[in-house]
Amino acid sequence: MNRYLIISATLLMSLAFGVVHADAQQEAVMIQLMPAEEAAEDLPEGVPAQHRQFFLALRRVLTIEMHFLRKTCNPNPEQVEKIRAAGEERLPELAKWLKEHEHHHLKDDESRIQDRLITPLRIATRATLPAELADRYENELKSREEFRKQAVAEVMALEVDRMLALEREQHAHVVSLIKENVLPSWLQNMQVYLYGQYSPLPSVEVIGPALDDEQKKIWESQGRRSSVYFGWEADLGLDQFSNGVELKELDDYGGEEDQ
Amino acid sequence: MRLHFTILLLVAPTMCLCSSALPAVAQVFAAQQMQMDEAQLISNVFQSQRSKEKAREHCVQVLAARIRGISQACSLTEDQRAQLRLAGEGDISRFFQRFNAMLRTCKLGQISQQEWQENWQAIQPYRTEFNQGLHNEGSLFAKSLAYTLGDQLENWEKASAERQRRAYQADVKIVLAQLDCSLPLTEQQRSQLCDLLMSQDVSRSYTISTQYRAYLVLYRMSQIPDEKLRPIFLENEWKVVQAMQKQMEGLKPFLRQQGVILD
Repeated sequence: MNRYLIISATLLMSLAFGVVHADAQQEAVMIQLMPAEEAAEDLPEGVPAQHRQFFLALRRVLTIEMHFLRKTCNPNPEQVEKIRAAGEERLPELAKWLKEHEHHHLKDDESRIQDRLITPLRIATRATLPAELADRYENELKSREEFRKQAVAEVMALEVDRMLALEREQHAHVVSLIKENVLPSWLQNMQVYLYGQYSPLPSVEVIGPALDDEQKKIWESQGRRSSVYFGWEADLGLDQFSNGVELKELDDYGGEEDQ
Repeated sequence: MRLHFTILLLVAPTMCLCSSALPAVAQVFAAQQMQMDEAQLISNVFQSQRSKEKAREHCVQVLAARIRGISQACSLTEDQRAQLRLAGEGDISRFFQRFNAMLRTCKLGQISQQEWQENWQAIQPYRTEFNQGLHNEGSLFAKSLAYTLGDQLENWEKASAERQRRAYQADVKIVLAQLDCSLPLTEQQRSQLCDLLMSQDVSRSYTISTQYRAYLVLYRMSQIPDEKLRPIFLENEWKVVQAMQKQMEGLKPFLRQQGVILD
């Protein structure tokens, strides 16, 4: 679904349910379909036009990841180019995958879409930078994933607590059980956890060891919950703060790489 | 302007993309007429509980867990438990009485898109109320709590404050993890930001609607003085943070209107 359709559907439903502030609606209608700089951006040869929006979105993810890598390892311009090239090379194939899976809700064991782009960056970083710097990048990636897992576990435990009134020790136990059993797909989009009723939740098998029999019974009685899918752009995290100025800023290293 | 697009997506949570939240809506857009019976409406409100009986049973179980939680913090007597149970069951009964009365006003049978929308407008508040729990602020249960607990209220308030802090901490982490997709942070940056956000006063009641939880965190982040916040970020990242601060400033009247900020 392209951005225009998403906005139209969103507005239509928002108007129906009266949840959107009038000013926000007015502003949203004025949004351009695609900014001029994106429209002008060339695609590499062999990338079909219908993959364009996916390709460009993934390139934004790449730019953001490159910023992270620069910040972590401080590579020189030649090293940056080499590593970025490894990411660029993967983009057409990933854009094709994204186009084919445009409405794809990740299965439990599927890992984050971004990881498919980070993998070639990791390999290129290891091949390009001294071991100490490559280790630093790996450690930061690991820490980022741990933080995501911890965040997911804590927010899920809130839902468990809301229903089961956990004791302090139980709460800590539930958090650690969820963290140990986090499904890869739970780490894709953090937005879903901000709407409690649609948040994925752990099964009784996962959190059971922390609960008593009565609590287990209540947890099981809630049955299957509704889920929510915000679309592939949201899954890539691109509808948060990276639209426009942000991306430009994160890619601005004072022209040092052009020299 | 593009930032407002972001806002729209954040503000419009409960609606269009829910895979099973609005199954009937999808049908309506596919066809002008649809068949609607009472069971479908009930299922829309209670979702996985499927029937009023099951939903009611679930509410009673949740109430029991809640009373047990309070009892752990305050060592309730059997009389106190009974009082709270009575109040909580009163909330459940009142909810289902109101729900049944509302159900009788819904249009059933072959209905139009307009009629479905009217039905949805009627049932949606019940769906939200059921999902959020029937014993929150304003309920008979909550009102009777202070009276029932008496001197033990302090213990309960302490336990509630701890819960509130845990909830805020979880929201801070989720927001930072999401922010990480567009403004990737190092371990040190995340830790510093978490500490700053958690050092703020989180004593106000943490009962805002779920969809505004991210706003609360982002707004509080925008209120941290520059001299504390700026050293955490690189020069180019700081421009992004400033854009976000500006965005939150612009949203202030809206956030105040929604009860997210009180000042």
